[in-house]
Amino acid sequence: MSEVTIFDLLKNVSANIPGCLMTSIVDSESGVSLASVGSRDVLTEQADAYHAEMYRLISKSMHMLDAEQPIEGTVLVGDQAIFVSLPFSNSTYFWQVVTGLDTTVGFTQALMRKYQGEIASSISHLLT
Amino acid sequence: MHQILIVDEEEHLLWALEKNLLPERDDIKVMTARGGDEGLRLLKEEAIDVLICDIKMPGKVDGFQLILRAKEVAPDARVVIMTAFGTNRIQNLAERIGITHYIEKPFNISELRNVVLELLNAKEGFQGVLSDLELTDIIQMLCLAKRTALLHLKHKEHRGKIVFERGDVCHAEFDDVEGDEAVYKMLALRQGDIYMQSDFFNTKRTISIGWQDLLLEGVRRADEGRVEDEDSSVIEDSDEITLGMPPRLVSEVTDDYAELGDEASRPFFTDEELAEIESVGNELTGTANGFDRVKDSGLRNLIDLHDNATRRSGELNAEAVLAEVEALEVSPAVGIGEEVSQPMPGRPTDSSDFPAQSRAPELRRPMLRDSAPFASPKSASALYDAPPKPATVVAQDVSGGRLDPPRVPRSFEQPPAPKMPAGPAPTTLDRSNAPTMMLQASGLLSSRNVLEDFARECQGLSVTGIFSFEDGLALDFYTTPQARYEPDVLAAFFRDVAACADKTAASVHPNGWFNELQIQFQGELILMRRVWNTPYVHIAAMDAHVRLGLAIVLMRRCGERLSECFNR
Repeated sequence: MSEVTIFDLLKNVSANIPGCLMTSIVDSESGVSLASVGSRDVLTEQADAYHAEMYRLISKSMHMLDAEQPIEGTVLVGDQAIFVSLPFSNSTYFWQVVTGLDTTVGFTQALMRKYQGEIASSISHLLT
Repeated sequence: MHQILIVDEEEHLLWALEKNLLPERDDIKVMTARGGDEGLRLLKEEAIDVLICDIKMPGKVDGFQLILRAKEVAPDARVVIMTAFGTNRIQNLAERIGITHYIEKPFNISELRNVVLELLNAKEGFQGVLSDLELTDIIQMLCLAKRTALLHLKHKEHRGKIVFERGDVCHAEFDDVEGDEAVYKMLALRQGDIYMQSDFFNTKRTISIGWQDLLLEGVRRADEGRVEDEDSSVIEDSDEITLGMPPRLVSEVTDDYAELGDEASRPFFTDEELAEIESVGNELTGTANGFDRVKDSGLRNLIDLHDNATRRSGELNAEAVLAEVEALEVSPAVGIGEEVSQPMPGRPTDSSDFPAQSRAPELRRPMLRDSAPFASPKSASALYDAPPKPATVVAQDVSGGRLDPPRVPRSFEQPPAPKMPAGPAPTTLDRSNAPTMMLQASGLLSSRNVLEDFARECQGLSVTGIFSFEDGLALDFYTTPQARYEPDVLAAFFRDVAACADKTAASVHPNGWFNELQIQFQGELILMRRVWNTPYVHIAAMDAHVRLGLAIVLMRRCGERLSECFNR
């Protein structure tokens, strides 16, 4: 039986989220994605890079406010899409899923939590 | 004329400071304001050199807002924070927004006086003519005063400079000669024009011996040169060629200086100021070549005072000299000194007060991993023999049918197509055309009520308010006793987050923008929402255990009301 790769997992997730535009695992430090699956209509690299930048700015802001604490997740609602992200603990990586406005955020988050463990294991396996 | 503005709500304190801060200085005008609004008006109308303000003040513009706005309207002004809430937190916040001068109430007026004089000194240099003074004296006094300065010297076609770093002579140039020899050559000059520059950048260190040894050797060489000149009978004015002090006097000065103890060893400039000098020096150094035009009396006065002190005591008293140096350093500089001390046009002038951007410690510097594995989708996919191109996503309902429009988390349903500003995205709203101030004036009164209503309904809220998307200035904030953040600082930093959220949203559509951002932390939730048809963003920080859905709905309602307030 062949090993399930991180791409397989992302494809599964994207296939199960209605209106999923893209999903990727991004290094918040560099803004570079480890794996990405998405529609051609989305500038995936831009989404990864700026989403990572946003993570850095949030962390920096909280540090400046003397209230440093780990981010547990973000939801960015744009005029065209919703960006849901979950960071992986003990790692600089976070997982983002971009969906259309019609997709329920709660559903996206639930599915992400369901796959979070597997994807974290996959990342860990990749990086060790 | 220097102008100092003190902003505080305590009238008696203002009165006391106005009367007693620097009463003996006719060249310093002290102005006062009882609130941020009045302070802001004076900052706009007057050329303020030093702004001293309290943090906690009533009214629409508190201390932090005033400081942040001073960056725009009076970039030359140095800032001193004074507050009775002298917590480390306030001090940390001050440092984080680049304010290095901080004084806690209650304070002694002399403390504040010293801070003000220090700030004024740092803004200017002085200049003079060497013909009536001894260069050794100038070097001596600068060293005793532990100054960091660049002394330019011009004599006919010769050019020289001496660099002082916290009272040490660390570098010198005279024409093509560097190091000790350059100093000796300059000490041998009988005439010349000098100019002292405070803002400079130096990386060279060509002198390693102490300034006392340097002067002694210079005096010795000058004496030898004088003897040779006398032998050749070319001396015209024996008074003018008496360079430096006798060695005995130098050693006495050194002893006196040693007795000054900690006071003498206190750096004249703080580390922050030194960093500031370094940061601006590159731009300024190249302009400091016009000292031949200088005919100022500042240094002459300094030397006269020094001479008088010497005459009075019969020997050089280091403490007196030090006091005189410090007293004279605040005298207004004119001519080229002032020109050189002025900031270059078009750049923030006071990097010590407003360097938040450049000095803010980076939490994490982005690590570029060009050569590392997984640096790109291509490299990652190569590991798995997977094609690097993005896969096409087929969206489907998990239940096999079409999902109904979400009803449970309706919080993300978009509001009915609001009228967004025509043309560019909201981030690029032209404030010069948009009547922002009118918006503020008309909207702030009622926005306060809206924010208060929101705070009443939203359980667990700690702080909420509106800030400008354009510049991050806090317009109006409502804080609860549980508030952990200074509204102005919160606004300033999260404006950058909002701007980045805009760029993230634009990855789906080139003209896309963000409407709403939820940031979940372990113990806290921060929500941001753009206020429609305005250049403002509503932000709220609340306990993590708050009912998120309710908070979002309340925030949306609040946003609609805020939009009405500002567009009424």
